[in-house]
Amino acid sequence: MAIVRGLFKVIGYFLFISLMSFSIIRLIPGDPVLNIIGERGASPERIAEITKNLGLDKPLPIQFLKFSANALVGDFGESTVSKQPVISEFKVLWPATVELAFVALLWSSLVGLALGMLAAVKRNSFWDYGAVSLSTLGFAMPIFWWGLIVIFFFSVKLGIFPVSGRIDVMFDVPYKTGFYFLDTLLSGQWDAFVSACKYVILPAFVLGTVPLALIVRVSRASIIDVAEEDYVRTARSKGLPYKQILFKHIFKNALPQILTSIGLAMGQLLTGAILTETLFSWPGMGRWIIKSIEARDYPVVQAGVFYSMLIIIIVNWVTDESVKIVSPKMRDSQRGG
Amino acid sequence: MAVTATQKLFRNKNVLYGMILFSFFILAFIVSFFWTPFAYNEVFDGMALQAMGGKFILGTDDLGRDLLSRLMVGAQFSLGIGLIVGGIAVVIGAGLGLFAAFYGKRVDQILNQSMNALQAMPSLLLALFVVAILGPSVTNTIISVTLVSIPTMFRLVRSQAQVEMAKEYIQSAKALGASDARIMLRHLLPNCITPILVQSAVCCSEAILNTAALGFLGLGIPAPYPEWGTMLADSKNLMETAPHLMWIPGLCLLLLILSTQLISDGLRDHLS
Amino acid sequence: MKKVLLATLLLLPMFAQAADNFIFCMEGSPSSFNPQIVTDGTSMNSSAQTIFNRLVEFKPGTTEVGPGLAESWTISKDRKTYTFKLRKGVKFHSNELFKPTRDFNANDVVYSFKTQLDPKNPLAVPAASYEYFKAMELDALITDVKKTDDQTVVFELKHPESPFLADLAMDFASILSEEYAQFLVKSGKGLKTLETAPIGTGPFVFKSYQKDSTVKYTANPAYFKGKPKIENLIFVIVADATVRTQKMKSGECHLMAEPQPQDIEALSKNPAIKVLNSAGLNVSYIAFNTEKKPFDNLKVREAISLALNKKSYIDVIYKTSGQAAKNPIPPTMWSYNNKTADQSYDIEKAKKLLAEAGLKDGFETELWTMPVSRPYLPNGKKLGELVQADLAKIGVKVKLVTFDWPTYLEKSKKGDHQMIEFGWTGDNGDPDNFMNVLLGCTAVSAGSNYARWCNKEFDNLLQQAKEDSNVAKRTALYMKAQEIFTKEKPWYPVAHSKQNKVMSAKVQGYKIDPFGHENFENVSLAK
Repeated sequence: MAIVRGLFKVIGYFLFISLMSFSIIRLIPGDPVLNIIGERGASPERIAEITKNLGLDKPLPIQFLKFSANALVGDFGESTVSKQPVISEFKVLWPATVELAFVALLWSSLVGLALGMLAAVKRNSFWDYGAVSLSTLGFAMPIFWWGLIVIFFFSVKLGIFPVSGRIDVMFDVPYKTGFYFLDTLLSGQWDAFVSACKYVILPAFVLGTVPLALIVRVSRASIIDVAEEDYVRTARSKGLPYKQILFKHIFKNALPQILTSIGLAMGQLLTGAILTETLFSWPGMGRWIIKSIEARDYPVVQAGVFYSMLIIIIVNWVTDESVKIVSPKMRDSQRGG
Repeated sequence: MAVTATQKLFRNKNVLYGMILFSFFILAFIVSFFWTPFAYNEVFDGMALQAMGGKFILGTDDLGRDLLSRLMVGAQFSLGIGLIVGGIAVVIGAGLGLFAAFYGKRVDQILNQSMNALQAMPSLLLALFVVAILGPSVTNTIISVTLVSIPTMFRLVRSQAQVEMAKEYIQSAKALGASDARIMLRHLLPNCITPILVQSAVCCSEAILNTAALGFLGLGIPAPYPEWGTMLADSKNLMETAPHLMWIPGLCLLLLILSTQLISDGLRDHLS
Repeated sequence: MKKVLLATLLLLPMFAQAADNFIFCMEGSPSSFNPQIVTDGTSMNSSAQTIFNRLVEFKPGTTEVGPGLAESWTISKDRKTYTFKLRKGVKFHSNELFKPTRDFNANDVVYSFKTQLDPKNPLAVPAASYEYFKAMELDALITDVKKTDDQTVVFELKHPESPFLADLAMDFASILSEEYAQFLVKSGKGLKTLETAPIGTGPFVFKSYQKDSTVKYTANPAYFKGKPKIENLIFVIVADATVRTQKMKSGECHLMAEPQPQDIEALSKNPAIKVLNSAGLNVSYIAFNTEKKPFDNLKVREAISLALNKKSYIDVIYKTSGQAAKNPIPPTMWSYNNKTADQSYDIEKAKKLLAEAGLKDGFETELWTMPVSRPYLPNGKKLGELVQADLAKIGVKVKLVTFDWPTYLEKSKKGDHQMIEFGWTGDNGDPDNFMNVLLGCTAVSAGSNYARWCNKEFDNLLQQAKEDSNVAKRTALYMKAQEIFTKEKPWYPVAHSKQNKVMSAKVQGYKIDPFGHENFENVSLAK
């Protein structure tokens, strides 16, 4: 029974996602065919011919059925701009975004957790005020401006980091997984690996700023919450070493909330990636979607929207589940945004 | 009584600093309607890219327009949109939240699922699509930015109201034959006011941020209106020749958002 | 450990460069490497200009047509038959999939044109529209392409057409290998492979492409004009103009695409960088929708033209790289009429004319501003803001309207606009390619006549000029047409922009192409 219900749910989600991704780009005025024609003119016959070649002459319901049936097996058609299968472009750009988001999430989680713990342990100290102010500032930071400043200092003024791109153009990284960190090492190019690291630092630094603020705040608050509970006080009065209490009891109990905040941060990363990738010319999904909207590249936008919705739904689900595993108490508690 | 409550509120440092910053922008906002040093769209020939100081206090942009005047008028958009969106989000989001909690069952399910649907896409992407569909204009920016800020408000109010619904006084009000509207407005709403207040400040800051982000991506308020995000996008190309064009609008944006966040943080601490 | 890693990061040279690498920083990703299919400059530079050749080619840096894969040609008396003698011993490239077994011959030429003429041809790329070929109306012009022997090809035309040779020198007329296409069909790889793994005869051999990152080429040792001096040619894709400028300064690029006018001055002061410029084959303009009131009234068009301060537009938007325009064609094009009156700036007269038109108190209108940056108009929004400020002085309240590019095109082709910014870059250097495409009567329904202006007298002159072959006669006709244009003012011509080419001081042998293409055949780097 539960399986049938689950199945229905999955089908429902699938229909919803494919309907959204199919229709939202078509609601935008502007014709992909005229975009191809550009400044010059074209007779109605020519326009009809190109429309037919793009498969846009068929009735909308047929187009939709075709799209969702193909999407089911992971086929999103061909880009109207590059005429390449959407999936083959996706395979290259998707790992770029994941790599960037991973580095951003990694540093922001580590630094965020450390700062949050420090602030909670040394409450009302310099460290606490510092961490809290930093987090407030990070929350308020418009990251596109932050990115400009970072580029201004580190690339333009100091010249320490490259301005844009994923790796120095001199390196040829054979495509294996699409992740440069892996591909460079798999092909044994240590220099290329170092170069890839260099290129990812600035954009990941910018992208991780808002998640950092969130993680600092949540980990500090939840550790303080747990630390004030009775059993912690009892443990302290028993004279257990503080370090042991902190890691054995407090941290473990504060973890679900912290995990949730990291999950939330992942949702924000997607929005952030659109701005960061645009700013740093990072060849990833965010920039790809924006550019394809501009060109009315229907198949690409459909695929992009489809995947980003899928990711959000999966991330939300995984966050919920992992919280349940870590903390059985929360199993029946309310789901929140 | 009211005085002491306000005094208490301002004893919270976050609220105090937030309010000071915020009133500074409000002042600029109000003044800009009556007076700016120059007209925001007046082009001074041969005065492009003047540095700070001199006749133009904050310098001029690449067309030769006074930056200070443009910033002040820009406050009308950033702050105005923030306030309007905060307001609309309260009315719609909180209203729907109360509705969902009060009627429960089907109504709740449908509303909850539609909010889920709105949140299934990265918010900026959704806002971008909405503006692209409707076409860029002030009204459409407001619509799109509001749309993405409704779900969080809805959720907060709904869960708070659900807690209240289970309480006895609601049941007794129902038993006494009070109308639905009366129960929602007189009983439920006052008890949800805390999250609504806090969240409306959050909505306001998110709206300011999203408006600027749309402007930065080139889908903001159309020219020649000086929206801060659009000004920032333009400044990108002039980073080296005229860095003040990058620094100042960004700083305004940061401080304005910071002020609303300080207020919402302070309110949250104070009211809970 | 962390410190060590950081130190290695900082110490490692940021940009490893070998001397025989040439890096071109371009503005976007090519959409495809099949030159017959692509329509944008980026893709043409990445395919036609580097990997392919054409029967006839523009001589470097000119609009003059010279021999390419054809050594010579003859034109029949009725000018409807063109016979080309092909070069011998030209080799196609090879790649991982394919090794050519024969040299280039007439079959390749016939194949390259037959596929574009007939979409049902078995070697035509499925669902390809061959936009450029058809936009130049060659499908209606060429009746047949025949091979008479391995080294001779004959083109039959429906009617005489003066710009035909120039059309054949355009990028979409590149010659592809018939053998390769047949191989792709037979091996089951499909003709789509032409778009990702191109095989041509050109100076460079395609090596790899990474979307939004790089395109890499190596020199073709068997190139029939001699092996190019650049060994590794690398196109780096940098979409952001500011970032490109930055990379240019830090020495990461040897040549950059589309520098911004405001950066030119600073860049030319840099000793490691040189800036070349030349007139471009383009024009930017504000079109009045003559189908709509009040722009159907010539007095209104004149009044607005008088109230616009062209000098300030050039100063602010184009800086030193623009030239004020008065005719629809650029001054470097033959038949440019230097005698037409310059546009004057006179607010009082403008007000008087408005009053005469019955609009003493001005009126409200819209100006649509270009949402994208083009070489002919780097910043449409700024132009709009300046125009708005100028027209306010004569009481005309302008609302600036913009859409993103596809919407802008769709609405303007339908004629929804009142005033609109547009521009044009020439395809083949012929005046017909400007005046007829942008101001002819048929262009109204085709959608590229944004003034929606159909003047019978003007149109007749253009049609006569198109069918004539005598350059002197054609010149006289186009001169006359420009006079009518100046009198009737369907547009307010803004500027012809110069092409600025920013490159490393070490670059040698670079010639600016009037069409804006990049060709690296004769380029080298000083040690």
